[in-house]
Amino acid sequence: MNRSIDIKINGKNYSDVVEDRLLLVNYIRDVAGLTGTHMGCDTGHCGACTIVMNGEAVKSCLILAVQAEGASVETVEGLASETGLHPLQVSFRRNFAVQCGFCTAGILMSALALLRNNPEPSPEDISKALTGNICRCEGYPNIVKAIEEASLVIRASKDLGREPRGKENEKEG
Amino acid sequence: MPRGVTLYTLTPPKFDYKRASSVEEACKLLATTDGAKVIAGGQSLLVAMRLRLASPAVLVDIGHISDLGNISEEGMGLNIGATCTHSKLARSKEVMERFPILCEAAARVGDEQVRNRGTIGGSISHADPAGNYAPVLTALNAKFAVVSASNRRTIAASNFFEGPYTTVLNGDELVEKVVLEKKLSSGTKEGHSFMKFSTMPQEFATVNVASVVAIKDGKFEEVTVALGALLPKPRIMPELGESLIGKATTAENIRQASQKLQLGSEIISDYKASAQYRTHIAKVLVARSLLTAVNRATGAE
Repeated sequence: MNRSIDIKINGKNYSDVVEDRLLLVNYIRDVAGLTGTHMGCDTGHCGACTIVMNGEAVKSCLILAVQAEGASVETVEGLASETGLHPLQVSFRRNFAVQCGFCTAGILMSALALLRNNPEPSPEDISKALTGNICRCEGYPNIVKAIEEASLVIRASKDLGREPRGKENEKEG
Repeated sequence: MPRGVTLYTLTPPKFDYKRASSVEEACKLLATTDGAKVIAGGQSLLVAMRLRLASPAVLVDIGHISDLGNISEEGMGLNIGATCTHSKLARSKEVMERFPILCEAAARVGDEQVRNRGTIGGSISHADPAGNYAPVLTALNAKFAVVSASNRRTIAASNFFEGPYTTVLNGDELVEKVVLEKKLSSGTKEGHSFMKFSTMPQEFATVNVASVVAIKDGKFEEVTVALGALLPKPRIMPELGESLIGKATTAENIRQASQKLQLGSEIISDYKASAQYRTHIAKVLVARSLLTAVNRATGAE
C-alpha cells in the first residue's frame, strides 16, 4: 500500500506518496535525493545511516519512511551553511578523522546530537556516544580527537558571542 | 514508488501500514485484521522483517500514540508506558530514585541510536532471550498491563516469558504499561545491580544478571538473582537466595554461593559462547553483581 507523508529534512518540507515498506534511508537517498546519508550493513549494526530525527540520533535504516511522518530530520547535508562548514566538519578535516569516509556522515550526525546534549564531553563520553557507529578503517582515535576539538571550538565561539562557523574556522590548523 | 526508486537494500516484505492514534484503536485493528503485528520503535522487528524472519501482513504502529510512553508515579511505585524509549528510561529521575537497576539495564540496551528509538514494551514483547529487561523485571516482580479489544489483564513478569521470542501474549493483545511496586520494610537497606556480559558493548548479552538484595544488620534478608541470556527464558535462582539468607554479606559467602549455582541442562550454546563458557561467566557475573548490590545497599559504593 501507499501512503502520503510530510517530512522536514534540513529545514525543507518534503511531501511524497511512498510505499509502506520504504525505509527512511531510502526515502532520504532516493526520493529526497540526499545521498550523503550512507547505507552500510542492512542490519542496523554499522550506523552509517545515522541521522538526527527530532533532536535524537537514530538509524534511518531501522525506521520506515511512513513512521517518520511529521518528523524533523537533519542529515549531513544540513551541517554546512552558506557561511561555511560546521565546526565538526572543520575539525574532522583538520584532525584527519576521515579515512575512506564511508562512516563519516553517520559519525558526524551522532556527534552533532552528542554535542547538543553534552557540550563538554570527555573522550569516554564520545566513545560511548559512538558505540553505534562502526569505522572499518579503525580511525577512532582521530575521530574522538576531532569531536573533542569541535566541542572546544563551539564553546569558545559561544563565549566570544560569535557564530561557531565561518571562513576563519576553515583555515588549516 | 515515486521517481524510479530502486530498492537495492534489504527492504521489508510487503505489508499494510496502519497508524493507531489511541490504544483502543490499536486493539481494534489487532482484533479485526489477520496477521497484524504491533510496531513501536521497530529496532528488532524491522531487522527481522528485512532478514525475512518475520513477514506480518499488517503493521499496527503505536509509536504515534501520545502519552503511551509516559512514566508516572503511583504511590511508591511507577507505571512505565509501553512506548517509553530506552533513552528516556535510562535518564529518568523517577526511575533512578526508585528502581536504579532499570536505568542500568536501559542504558545497556544496544547503542545510542537504538536506545533513542527502541521501547520497553517492544523489547519485552519481542522477548529476545538475551534482552536486558526480562531478568530485571522478573527480579523486581514487575507486572505487565495487557489490553485487547475485549479484555484487560495483568501478567506477572515471571509468567510472561515462555521461551525465545515467545510470550503468553495473544495475537490481539498489546502490552500497555509496565507496573512496578515498591515495598518498604523498615530497618532494611536495599541494593540493586544489573550486569551484562557481551562480546561488544552494543551486542546482545552473552549472560546478564539482575540482583536485588535487602540487608538487615549486616545479613542478607532477601536475595533475588535473575539470570538472562543463559536459558530460554529468564530464571530466578531461588536456591541461591535461600543459601544466602541470614548469612553475613561478605565477599566470601557470595563467592561460595555463586560457585554452587545449579543451572540445569537447558543452557544456551551458540556461536557466542558454549554452555560451559556461559556457565562460567554466569557464576562470575552473579558474584560480581551481588557484591555490587551489597556495596550499594551499605553505601560502600
